[in-house]
Amino acid sequence: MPHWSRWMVRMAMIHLCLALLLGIMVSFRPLTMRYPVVLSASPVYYHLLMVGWATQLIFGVAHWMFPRYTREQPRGDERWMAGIFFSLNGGLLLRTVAEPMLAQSGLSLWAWLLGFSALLQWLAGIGFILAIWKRVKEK
Amino acid sequence: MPRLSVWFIRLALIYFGLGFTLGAGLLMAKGSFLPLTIWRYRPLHIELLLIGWIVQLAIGVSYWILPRLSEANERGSKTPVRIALLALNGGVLTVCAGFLFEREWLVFAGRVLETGAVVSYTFHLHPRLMYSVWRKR
Repeated sequence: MPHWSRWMVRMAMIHLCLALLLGIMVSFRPLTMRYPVVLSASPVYYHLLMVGWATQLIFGVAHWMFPRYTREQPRGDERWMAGIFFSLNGGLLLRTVAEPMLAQSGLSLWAWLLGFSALLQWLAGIGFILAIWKRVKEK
Repeated sequence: MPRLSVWFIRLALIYFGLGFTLGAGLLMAKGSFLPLTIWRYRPLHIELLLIGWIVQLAIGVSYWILPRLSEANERGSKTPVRIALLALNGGVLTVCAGFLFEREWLVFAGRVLETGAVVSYTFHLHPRLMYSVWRKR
């Protein structure tokens, strides 16, 4: 299993645990009544599940299992995959903090960080499409 | 990778690109970098990513990788898989059109097509899964 696939699967499982923990917190009424910031993390819960876990697991497994790019570089440039890994996880973790904080405080710093997190995640997604497209081919 | 899987997976990647771009736009709007009116496209974001990306990718990869019917590596009839490809993509586009033009009947028709696609693919897959069980016995 290639290096970045292992890291992506690992991070996917960490995101799954974080999502489920957040799910418990969001549905625990005494906590949400005392700290309303937890309630505003509800979209983060869904995105940790669907982006952090499902999509990242797909990225990792596809990078490992899809047909080879070339004999010399079977999985393309590994540095590209490293960029996708850091961009996706950095963006998602930034969102995890910035989105509830923006909902609570309305500070423009959180808005900027949220915008930056959107850009990072988008770059990771487009980067993955570019990396994997040529490996989706008939044998 | 068989040709039909290439179609499913490439289409899934296109929907992923569209859905992710729309999602980034929604998040940008939350940060006040884009007008909040973009939020009316949120159902499209969900449809493109859940059905267009995840379901379509799962079908494409499973058609390629699940057990085959015979030693000659046959996957069985392609007709139900072709029907699934057309119905699923027709369904996703119809649902998206329904959300865009606010036509409930289009959303309903799209959902029917998507369900038909999954039923057709299941019909194709069933003997492949059963045969691998018989072979083990």
